[in-house]
Formats: sequence, structure tokens, C-alpha cells
Amino acid sequence: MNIDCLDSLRGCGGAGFPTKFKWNAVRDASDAFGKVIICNADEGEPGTFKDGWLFDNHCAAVINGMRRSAEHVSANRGFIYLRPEYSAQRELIVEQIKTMVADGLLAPQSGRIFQASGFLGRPAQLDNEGLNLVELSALDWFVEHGSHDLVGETQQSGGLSHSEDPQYPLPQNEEINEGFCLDICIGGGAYICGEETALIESMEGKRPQPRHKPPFPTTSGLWQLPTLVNNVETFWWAERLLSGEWQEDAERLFSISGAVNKPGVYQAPVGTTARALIDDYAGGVTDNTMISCWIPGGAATGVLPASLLDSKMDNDCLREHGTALGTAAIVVFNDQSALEVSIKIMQFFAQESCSQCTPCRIGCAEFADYLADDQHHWPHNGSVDEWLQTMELGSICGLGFTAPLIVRQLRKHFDFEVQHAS
Amino acid sequence: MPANTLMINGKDVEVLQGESLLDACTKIGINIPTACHDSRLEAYGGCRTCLVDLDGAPRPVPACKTFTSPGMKVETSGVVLDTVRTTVDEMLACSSRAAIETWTDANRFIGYDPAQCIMCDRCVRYCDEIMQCNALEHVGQGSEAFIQPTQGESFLDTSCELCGGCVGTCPTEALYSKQSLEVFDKQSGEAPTTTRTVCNYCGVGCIIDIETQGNTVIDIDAQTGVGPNDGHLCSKGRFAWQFINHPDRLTSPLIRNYDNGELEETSWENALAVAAQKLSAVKQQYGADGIAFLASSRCTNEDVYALQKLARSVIGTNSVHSCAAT
Repeated sequence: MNIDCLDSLRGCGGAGFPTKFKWNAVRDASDAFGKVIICNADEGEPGTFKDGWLFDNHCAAVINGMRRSAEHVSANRGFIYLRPEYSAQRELIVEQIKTMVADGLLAPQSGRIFQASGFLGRPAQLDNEGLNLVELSALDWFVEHGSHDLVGETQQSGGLSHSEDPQYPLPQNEEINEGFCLDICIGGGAYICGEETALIESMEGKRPQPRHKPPFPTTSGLWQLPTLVNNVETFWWAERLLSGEWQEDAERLFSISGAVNKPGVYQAPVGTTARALIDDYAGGVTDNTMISCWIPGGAATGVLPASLLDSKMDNDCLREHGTALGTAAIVVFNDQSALEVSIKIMQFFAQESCSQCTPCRIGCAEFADYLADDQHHWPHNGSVDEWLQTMELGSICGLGFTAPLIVRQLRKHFDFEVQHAS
Repeated sequence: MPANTLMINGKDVEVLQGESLLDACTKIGINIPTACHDSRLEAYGGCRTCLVDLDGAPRPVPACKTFTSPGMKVETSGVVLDTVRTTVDEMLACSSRAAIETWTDANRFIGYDPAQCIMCDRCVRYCDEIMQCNALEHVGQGSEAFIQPTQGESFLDTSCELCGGCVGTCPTEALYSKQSLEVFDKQSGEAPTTTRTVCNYCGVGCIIDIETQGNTVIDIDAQTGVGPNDGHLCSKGRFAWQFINHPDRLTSPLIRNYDNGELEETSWENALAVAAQKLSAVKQQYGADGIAFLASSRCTNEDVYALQKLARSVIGTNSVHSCAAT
């Protein structure tokens, strides 16, 4: 299968890894015991809701993208790892899979629902505490009502009753005789479950702690099988590009929420300025108020000042400003300072750290306290810089690597030390 | 097994395939500090104290969890690496923010102090990988995480065998022996001494370290890599030592006075004479095979040898057995 048209496509889940490279790596991996495709729909990055929107509006295309990847890498198993809050989307996916089974496009046993494991001592579903960066953010509406409230689409996603209780555990040694078997796996209900190796651990019924890499999932993923893990949006773009429906370079779905008139999911070219996205797509800032600060690509990309709204939303440009495009989720604030937003993000990370590695387990909590403290008193012998560096270099996964960015952005763009010298 | 040659701090090192960077460093005498590492368990790589620089890796890698391959180039020290390791040590000293202060469970042996816990998971992994009991679990997330008996039950209601291996593997004082805490006299100022000996509860011959303060036993532990037990002990070996200083412990033989039915203290000479007289009487009335000898598993080999000699050559019976034989 020729996948050259995926040249322009980078993973849309946050890290931006080239999709074609990943697909080929799984294709080239040894397949003595089969291969697995996983669609990462554990959309947990605060401010992001494009994946849920995609299932609401383009469910068939996403699944077709998975089928194409399965064909390319010769996989016969597939799972959609779905955020537990997305119960309406779950029903839509089941309906879509049933239709495709009837059409002979998927293996007959497809469409089952399994349960992945989460953290002990934590409810199965998030109560959205910590995600609530703006009061009644678009994300909250979305989880509650589905996408029609956001973008005025007429398609109703709710209303279907839950067809079955999830099964546990996942069937590891099942034989798939014909076609591609696609099932749903309900996520463990934690932020870190969206990290691909923690996701795999959770599917295996273990505590969702990220694995050490290498080996990468492309060679040793679910049950040690070569595994392709892509974001929902990545599969959708792959399908559009491979089917020829979209002839140009892949664009991005921007989730825009917060203090804007029309929060929602908007498709725009990578490199559109944030100001254009907010004004031309999302209907401008609420009540024409001043923007106090904004987030370019989900909570993990930190906050930026209003003076940078004219910067292009692409990785090269955002890297200059110390951040990245991430999940392309813009959150606009008009009533909270950068420090207030950063405190919430850091507290969220401290709560969501899996507690496996020391730098993230202790670092996130200590920095959350440091930011929240009125005097910004730093109680440790090692300097703030040494601690930030230790988290960036010494953590196991992306959560620990990027959490220091929250503090670094405050210092870079908001004169944190000058304003808040203790 | 094929060997790998790699370079550590500019020096060629030959190691076996499957060995970790930590093994390789240890082999050439480079001491890498560890906290979550226990050679009996699968590598965890969580504490980050053993980070080393590996040529080509984007970040320092944990030596315990990184397996050697030919041509690797490793540096175990450097300006940035040293800072990171010092900072990790400082982080490990930050105490946990767990919501619990200790376990309120009814077991008399194993206690927990979350303030000392560094979430290295050694206890949980020991209980899973070695004992296969899964009586401990890692609960919660971030700095609020802690360890508890499975499902928050008392240890006595889990599959715990009270082997105390979790206490043995704990690198801090987070898991501790409740008995030791009771007996240890902090006020006296007398430093404990450690004596290495062999456990005499059964015939395995576990090597144990008995800690004493004066004439009082305050703890028993075992060292990884020593003896047939490799640091493992059973519940009796690790915890059943309070009898040694117990006031009820017998310190002289007792003979029953058949006039009043009471047991009365006597001398060893008298006790042995009475036993010899009674055994002779039985042998005279029922023959030698009317007597059988059972040796306690707590007897040493020499004791058991002497007993069977008594049975065969003095009494004349082959009915002799030791419960350590099973």
C-alpha cells in the first residue's frame, strides 16, 4: 500500500510524531503473533475535545482510517481506547461497527466493549476537577451535551442507552480468522492513560504507569505485540488523505474554548494565527473583553501572553516562544491571570502524576505549592532551575518532561521572578 | 552465553547478554546508588537515583532498567548528571502527602509510616513476584500515593503470610517491625549489635542477622545474597523471637509430681535419670520396638544424629524420625 500522501501528516495527539514513519515501523516489525492497532481516544488534555467531536460527526471515517492502517501493517486486532466520559460516542461507535460488520468490512465478533484498569483509590470517571480551567468551559459543555451545542451541528449523539456492560479482561489469545476485529476499550479514567504505554498497561489490566522506552510500542506494545497507537484525528486525516478526499497538506482541528463567543472545533491550516482562529472562527472574545492570557495547545503547553496572539500556530513558531502546538486546543482567558491558570495546571499535574518516578511525583506537587504560595517561597536547597532540569531529564514520560514548561513559560513571558520576587 | 563489550567511563567492559548497566558498573567497581532496586526483583527504574548518561539517548537512563548491548558508551558522572542525581536525592527526602498516617490494621508484626515512604514499590513487587501473595497494593497518585494491605483490609484478612519480606526489602523505615519498635530502648543509648547466625526453626539453614541491645533481642533480619535464603525469611524466622526474653520461657526441666498433678522444677541429672528409668521399663515390658523417637525440626544435624544413635544402639529400635525430613 502506498502511503506517500501521509508525508505531511504528523500525529495529532500532542507529540507530533510523523505518522508515515510510525506506520512503516509497525509494518516492518516481526509479526509472528499478530499486530495491534489502537486508536487513542482517551482525550484527557484539558481544553481538548476534537476527538469526541470526530466520533460525533465522522465516526465512519475514523474507523476506516484504522482499517487502512491495519491493512498497511497487516494487523488483525484493533481497539478504540475511549475516555470513560464519552458514553454517547461509545454508542455511536458500537452502531457504526455493527453496520460495518453487516457490510462485511469488520470481523464478525467486532463491537465488544472491554474495560481497562485505572488507579486504585480513584473513581472510574473523572469528576473534571482540575480540568475546569474556565468556569463552564467548552469541555464541560461537551462532556455533558455532545458536540451539537458547540458548533451548531444538527447531529444528535446522545439518547442511545448503554447496550452492554464492559467485559474484563481483554481476550489476549483470541484467534481472529477473518477480517479486522475492532473492539472498544473503556479507559481507566486518568490523564496519564492517554500516554501510549500507560494506555497499553491499563489495557493489560495493570496499574496505568508509563513504560520505559525503548522498546517502543511499534515493536513491543500490547501483550508485547507490535502495536500502532495513533490519535483519533490522525486516523481521520489518514483516511481523508488516503481516500483522496483531501488533496492538500493535512490541516488541524482546533478546539477553541474559554472566553470566546463561539467555542467549538474548527478545521484550519497549521500556521493560522491564534488571533485569526479566535476572531474569524470562534466569533471573537466574549463581550469584546481583553485577553489576559491563552493556552496554545492544551494545558501541557503552558500559558502565553496576549501579545503573542499574532504568532503562527505551528511547531516552529511556537517553539520560539518556548512551547508547542500540542493538541491544538486554544483556551482563552479574560478573567484569570497567567499565574492563576498556571497554578491550576500544575495542581492538575500533581494530582495526575502516576507516582512511578520521583521527579514527577514530588516535583509537580512542590511546584504547585511554590506557584500557589503568596510569597513564592522555595523551601529546597537545590535551586528552582535544578529542580526543573531534573524533572525534564529525570522523569520517565512526557508528563514529567513537560510539567516544568508551565513554570518556564511564566518566567519567560510574564516576568514571574521580577513580579513575584520573594 | 554471548558477551557484550561496552565502554563505561572510557573503559572497556565485557558483560553477559541480559545484564543491566548496573550489573556492568558493579562488575568494574563503580558504585551506583540505588533505592528502588532489589536484585531479586524485576528492575523498576522509578526512583531515578541510578541515572547514567548513555551515548545517543535523549536523556539520562536508569542503570538498573537499561540492558547492555554491544558498543554502548556510558558515563556515570558529569556536571548535569550529578546535579540531577543530587536533586533526585533531595526529592526523595521530601515526605509523602498521603492522606493516611499509618495502617490501623490488627496485625502485630508489620507497621507502615507513609512519611518515610518513597513509593519505590519494592514491597508491592516483592509480595507479588516472590511471595505471589499480592497482599500489598499501591494506592492513589502523585505525592499522595501510599501503600496499603490489599483493598485496605487488615493484613490478617489478605493472603499475607506475614513473612515480613516487605519489611526486609524496604529501603527506608516506611515498613517496620512493630515488635522491634516496642522492644528497642532508645533512652538507654546502648547501640545495637548484629550477630550473624543460622535460624534453628527448621532444617533449611537460613542465615539470619540477630540484632541485640544488651541481652535483649530487638530484631531479626536477613541479608540479600547471603546463605540459602538470599534475604528471604518465613514468619517464624523473622518475627517469632520474643520467646527468647519471655518470662514464661522454661529455663530448667520439669517433672510431674503424680501426688498433686503439678509440674515441678528439677535438675538435669534427675530429669535424665527419670527418663532413662522410664524408657528402660517400657523396653522391658514391650520390647525395643515399643519405643519410637521423633526429633524436633529445631534440632541441629548433630542433635538428630545423636538421637538416632541413642535409638538404634542404646534402645535398639529403627523407629526414628525427624519432622525436618518431610
